[in-house]
Formats: sequence, structure tokens, C-alpha cells
Amino acid sequence: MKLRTAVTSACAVFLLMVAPVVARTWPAGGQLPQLNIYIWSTYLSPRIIHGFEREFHCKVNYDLYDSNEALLTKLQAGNVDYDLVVPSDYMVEILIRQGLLAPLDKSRLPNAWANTDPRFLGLPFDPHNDYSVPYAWGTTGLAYRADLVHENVDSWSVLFDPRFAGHILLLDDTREVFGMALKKLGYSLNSTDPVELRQARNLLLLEKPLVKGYNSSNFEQDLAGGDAWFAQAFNGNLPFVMRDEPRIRYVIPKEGCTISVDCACLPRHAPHKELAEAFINYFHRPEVAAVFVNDSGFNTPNRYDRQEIDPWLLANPAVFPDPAWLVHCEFMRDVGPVIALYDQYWTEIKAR
Amino acid sequence: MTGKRRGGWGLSISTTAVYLFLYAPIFVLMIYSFNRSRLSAHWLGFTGEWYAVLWRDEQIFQSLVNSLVVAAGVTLACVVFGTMSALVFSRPRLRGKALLDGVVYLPLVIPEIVIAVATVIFFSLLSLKLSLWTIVIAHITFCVSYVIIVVGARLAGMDRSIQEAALDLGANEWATFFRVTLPWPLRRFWPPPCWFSPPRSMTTLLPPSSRGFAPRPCRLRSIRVLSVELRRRSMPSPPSSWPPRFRWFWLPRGWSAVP
Amino acid sequence: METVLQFFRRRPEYRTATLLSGSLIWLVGFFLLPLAYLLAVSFAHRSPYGTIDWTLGVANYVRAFQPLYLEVYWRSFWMALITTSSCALLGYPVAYTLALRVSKRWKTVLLMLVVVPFWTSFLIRTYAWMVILRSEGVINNLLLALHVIHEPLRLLYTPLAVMIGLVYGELPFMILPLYAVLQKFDPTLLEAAQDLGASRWSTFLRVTLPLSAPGLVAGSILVFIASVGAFVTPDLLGGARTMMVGNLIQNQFAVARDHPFGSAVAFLLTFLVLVLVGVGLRKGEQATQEIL
Repeated sequence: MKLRTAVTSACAVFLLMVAPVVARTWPAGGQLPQLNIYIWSTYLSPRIIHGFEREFHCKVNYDLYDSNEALLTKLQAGNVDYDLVVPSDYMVEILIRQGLLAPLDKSRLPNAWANTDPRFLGLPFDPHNDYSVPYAWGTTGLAYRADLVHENVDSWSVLFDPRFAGHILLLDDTREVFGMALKKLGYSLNSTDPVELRQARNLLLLEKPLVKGYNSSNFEQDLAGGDAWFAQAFNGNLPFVMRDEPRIRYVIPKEGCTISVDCACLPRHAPHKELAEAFINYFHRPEVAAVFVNDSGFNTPNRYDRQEIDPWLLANPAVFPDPAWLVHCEFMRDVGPVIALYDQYWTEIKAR
Repeated sequence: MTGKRRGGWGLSISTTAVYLFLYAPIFVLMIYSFNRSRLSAHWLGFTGEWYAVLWRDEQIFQSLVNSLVVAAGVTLACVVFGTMSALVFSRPRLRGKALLDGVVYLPLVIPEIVIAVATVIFFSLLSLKLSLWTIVIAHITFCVSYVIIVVGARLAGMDRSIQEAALDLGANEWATFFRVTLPWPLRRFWPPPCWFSPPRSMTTLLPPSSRGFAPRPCRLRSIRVLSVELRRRSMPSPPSSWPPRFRWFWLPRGWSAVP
Repeated sequence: METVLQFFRRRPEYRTATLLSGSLIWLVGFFLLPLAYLLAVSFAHRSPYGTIDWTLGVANYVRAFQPLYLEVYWRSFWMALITTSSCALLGYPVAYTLALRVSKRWKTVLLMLVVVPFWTSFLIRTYAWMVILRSEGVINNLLLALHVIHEPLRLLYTPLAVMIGLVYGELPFMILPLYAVLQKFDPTLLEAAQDLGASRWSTFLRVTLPLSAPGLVAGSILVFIASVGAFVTPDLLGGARTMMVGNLIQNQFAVARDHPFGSAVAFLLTFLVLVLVGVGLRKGEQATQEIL
């Protein structure tokens, strides 16, 4: 085949493949103001985005991340032009300390202060909410198959029960797994005491033969398939799976677990601060908050009208846990330099 | 090719088995894409609804465009720079060849994770804004090695006298290059050596877990299913006249041995 | 145009420099420099809040040789070795068939077929293997339906699953170099051997195998390098039960935010790999020299 023909036909094929894709995604709102959001992959509902775009005549662009550390790396690298980020509680603490967040103009956020459950305001990592507004909250409890486990589950000790060997999944997360062990031992999950950490490590080492695996991303699939009977679970993975597989149940053990709140913050050099604050204010309208809960399956600290929430979500303890369960739950905080000890013990557990 | 065919069925069976092994996940993926259930654990019947969801999903299409842009940019840069350098590398005598060879081979030899972490902290040192440009830059880095080695091998096997003849007949260096030298590797080289793939380590550098309410893979990663990529270092099928491309195969041609 | 050419004719070394400049900018600027920076960081220390404290020392390297981490390296090395051998065993027949037993028409197609699965995302293919291997997955359902077993086999989250995933991911890197060598084979050598009375097996062991050694070495090096640094497969298919050196490095950069230690381990890994490549190349040269 002649070179010219080959090159021409390759280019033609390439253009034919690319054209419909580009046509479909050609940015239509070239003249509208932009809002750039960097957010967890399942936190944005298309309805909310389109509602905001229509009302405020702007275009919302978003990038997704799947770990707080990814967010930290991007913000530390600097020169990113996001207007809004949504880090978790302990990461807000780290970002404030490193000076990566901009203070909020509280006068532009009346909905936030009026509609947020006061239990979620003034939290230790940002006592005056100078930098963050709560966006969504969740827990890291215990999910299990009620049909395969014929007893009442209410404590972390089931994960250490030899009868369930080979059917237990833990999260692949240093802080969460250690947090669970510390809670079982009766300590704080933010412990920096080396003695307590050592006890937690020993407990986890003893438990390792019983553990089937460490999985943070798709443990719900194993629960649904019956491979695993228990899984330490982020509640956010569960609502839609529990709807499809009703035999999965969720409980927060009596020793307590991690409660976590993700907050909306502005990066220090955000180019469109007013629009970002408008978005936060818009998000805190009760009707918008209800849409968020219905679309994403996450709970939010806002005062939405419970009538507007889908009934199956209201009945789901992963999204709406019994308030009595939350008594011993703690927010996760940054442990500072002791993270090196956590990491070393984690390596020991994984390497054996 | 003759040779006794007795017992050849053992080879055929093992070869077929390996091909089935290679394609098993692909078939499973294709079948499960029609699963009505969200869960891969249950099979709830055939449905095309997920393709409809995919068609409506704007983020996925934006990611696809990003991937295509990256691929196009990387391809162009690598082919241009790589071919230019390959012209130098294919010369039989070159001072400092050992050093140059080492530098060119290094990206292929160092584990992906080391390259990934080095690149990430280097970019953060430079406070380089992470964007499509940084992805393009990082990919060009090791893809260009690949082009140099492959095109260089092809050019090395070329008969230099053809080029000399062209020059003698009055063509200047540009004409010689575009009409004589360049078609030589490109004609026998199909598909083009420019279909490279971003390595998985670039986007899976940071773990998907830790503090996630619903830690799902980032969208930019998930679109790879749709994008036209070849995994790095994967070879298009070479015609039988193609010389082998690895260093030690060049030994019989009298080249000096270089790691 | 002409002036440019004349300039380069007069100064051939400028021409060389210009031609090389494009790639060298990239290779030196975006590859060697980051590696050099990584090396520098490996001698630094972690400050209490996760940033880099530039007091230099070899503490990270000393720490990297603690028994805890040696265990991790050893396990990675063994896993990579077994993966490489499995790839060689599985890949050789394929390369041999494609190179020597298949008609010219089919060669191209079949080679493309080896490569095409790699046009899809590695992560997605790994998740697909989880679907195949789990207790209610394809394999177990099939075996249960055929009454070969009565209880599901525990395939997922085991070292076997990690092995399968690694071999799957690296097989083409073994097949292609082997193919490249084998298809340059002179078939008359085989005929000569058999005419002289050698059995098929003996022909293979004494003629084919030694002559394909360079391809075997090339493929083994590629597969070994890729397997020893693997971190996604042990996490997903192995249930993150075992820590390999790739996971160790990833943890340092992601969770522990201890870049200096992570860099030190990364460099140790690189050094090991380079040493092995050097050794492998020397063996490859020896094999080729012996034959010639």
C-alpha cells in the first residue's frame, strides 16, 4: 500500500471516530462564567448541577477524585484552579494547617448557617467554620448478610470470632482498620498512645488469619455474592446495593465507629469564589438537600423535609442510622507524626 | 515450513488454551455489560440500559475526548522526536553510543511505579499545574524511547547505499529523507508505532481507598475501556521481515554490547 | 531551506545535536531529572507533618533493610520469579506455534489477537478476573453445575489469584520477544537435526531452545520487571492480604506521606532490577556467543 494512502486512510478513520465524540462534547457555554469543582466521584447529582446552572447562568465543570490524599497532592502541587473542593474532616484539618484553604465569606452563606444541624457545626477541626461548611456525613460500620449469620450482630467482636474465619472483609485503610481495633479495645480511634497502638496491632495480627481480604472499593459485591458474611463498610457503598440485595444489613457496633463529615471548602487561590459560595448556599436549600439524598444515597447535615426523601432510603440504616447508635462514634482527626507508627504497624500486619 | 506434524496437536491445544485465557475476562466483561443487576454477583437478565446510561453520561464522553487528545498529542510528539533521534541511533558509528543507549533503554527497564512516583513528586516540586499537559509530558517521556528503539532497529537494517544513491542523483537531504528514508520504516510498519497507551501506574498511583464514602475509581481512569489505546510496549504485529528489536539481537550484526 | 542544509553540512555535529534534542529534552528533563530528585529525596527525612525535611542521611536506607521490609522484598522477588516461569511455560508454545507452525496469512492476525486484549483498561480486566474467580463466579458456577465440585473453591483473594492476574497481564511481553526470535529461525536446521536422527523432543531441547534463548531472556526480563513492581493486582486479586514492594512504595506516598522512605525503597527496587537486567543481558550475550 502506498504510504500516502495509508496515512490518509488512517487520518480519515481517526477523524471519523473522533468527530461524533467531539461534536457531542463541544463546550456550548463558551461565554458563561465557569465553576470548577473537584469532588468525590459520587457526590454530584446531575439534577443539582443543572438546577444550579440554570438559575445562576453558569457552567459547572467538575473533576473527580477517590481519596483525600489525591486531593491533598493536587492542592499541594499548587496552580490548580478549582473553586470548590470537598475534603473529609481530618483532611480539612491538614489543609487548614498547610494554608491551602481560603476563608469563607460567611455573609454569603445564610442557608448554610440556618439549615445545618448544629451538631455538625463548630467541629474540632474547624471550630468556627471559617474554612468549611458540612456537605455530607457518613459512618464506617459493619455490614453483614442476615441470612448467613444467624445471630444478633451488634459488636465489633464478631470480626474476631473464629467461627466466621474466611468470611470477614476489612477495609484496606490504615486509619479505619486501626480505628476499629482501638474502638473494640475501648480506646479512642484517634489514639496517639504507643501502648494502645501496640495492643491494637497485636489484636489485628491475631485476627489476620480470619480475614478473607482487605477491600475498600467493592466489598459490597462480595457481600452480595455471599463470599463474605461480614464487611467493615463505608456506609456510602451500601444503599443501592442493599436495595438490590435486601439480605444485607448494616449496623453500627455498640463500641462505636468512625463518623465522618465531608465539608465544602474553597482552595486558597480559587478564581471564582463568589460562584463557589453561591453553590454552597444553593446546596443548603432544603429541597436541594433532599434531591442530593435521593440521588446519591448519602445523608447530609441539612434540615431537609423528610417527606421528600424516598421511603426506602428512610428505612435504610446505612443512610439513616438509629441516633442511639451514634453515641460512641468519633470523628477522625489527624494524628500528626504518629501516622508513621500507624503505617509501620500496618506494614507489619500486611507483611506477615 | 515442513517438519513432522506428528504430535502437533499438543501445541495446538496449549496455544488455543492460552488464547482462551487471554480473552476470558474480555468475554466476561462483554456479557456482564448486559446484566440488569448492578451487582456482578447476580445475573438478573439481559438489558441494554447500561449502554443508554453510558450514552447520556457527559463526564465519560469528556474523559474520552481527553484521552483522545492525549493520545494524539503524545503520538505526534513521539513520532517526530523519536524518528529524528532514531536517525542518529541507526548510524553504525556514534560517539557516546553506550551512554545514549543506556538513557534510551532506561525508561523501559525501570518499574512503572518508580517512574510514576518520581514524576509526581517532580511535578509537585516544580509546582506544575497537573492537567492534561502534564499527562502528555509524562507519556511522551517513555513512549519516545519506544519509538527510538523500534524505528532505529528498522533504520539500522536499511541499506545505506540507497540513501547515497539518492544524494548522488541530486536530491538534497530533505528530499532524501522524506522520499527515501522515511517510507522505509513506515511502509513495513503497520500499524504505526504511535499507538501508545498511558501506563496504568500514572492513574492508579494513589490508592482508591482511605476515607472514601464511596471510593469508586476516578472517572478519568474508568474511560479506558472506551479509548483507543494500546498498552505501552505492546507490539503491533510485525511482518516476518521485521528485525527483532531488542539489544542483544543486534549482537550478530557486530554492534557493541550495551546494557 | 538551502541555507539550513548548508549550515548542517558544514557542522555535522550540530545536525546530530538537533536531531537528538527533542528526545533528549524529554528523557533528560522529564525522566532523569525526576529520578535524580527521587534519589535526593531518599536521603532526606520526613518532617512531622508529612513534608520533606532536608537534613540528609542514610537513615531511610538503613530502615529499608529491616527484617520486616526484607520479607516484603523477598516475597515480591519470589512472586515475580514464579510469574516469569509461568509466562515462559505458557508463552513458549504460543510463540512457537505462531512462528513455525502457522501459515503466513494467519500469523499477522493471530499476533494481533495476542495484543488486542491490552487495548482495554487494565483495571477493568482485573475486576473482570474478580468476577470470574469469586465464589459465585464463572469458574465456580461452571464446576458446580457440572458436579465436579460440591462446594465453591476458594480462588479469589489468594496468592493463586494474584499469580493468575500477574501472568495474565504480562503474557504478551513474553510471547512477542519469543516470536520475534523464533520467526527468524532457519527451518533447515530443524530438518538437518531430524535427518541426523534426533527425536522431536531432542531437536527442541538441543537446537530450538538454545537458539531462542535471547528471546527468552528478553521476555523474562520484561515480565520480571513488571511483576516485581506490581501493586494493583496484589491489592485487588489478593485482597491486599500480602504486601509486595509496589504496595509498600505506594503506601509511603499515599497514606504515610513519607516520601523519603518511599523514595529509598523505590531506588532499592530500581537498583535490584538494573542488576538483574545486567546479569540477564550478560547471560543472553553468552548464549548467543556460544551459538555463533
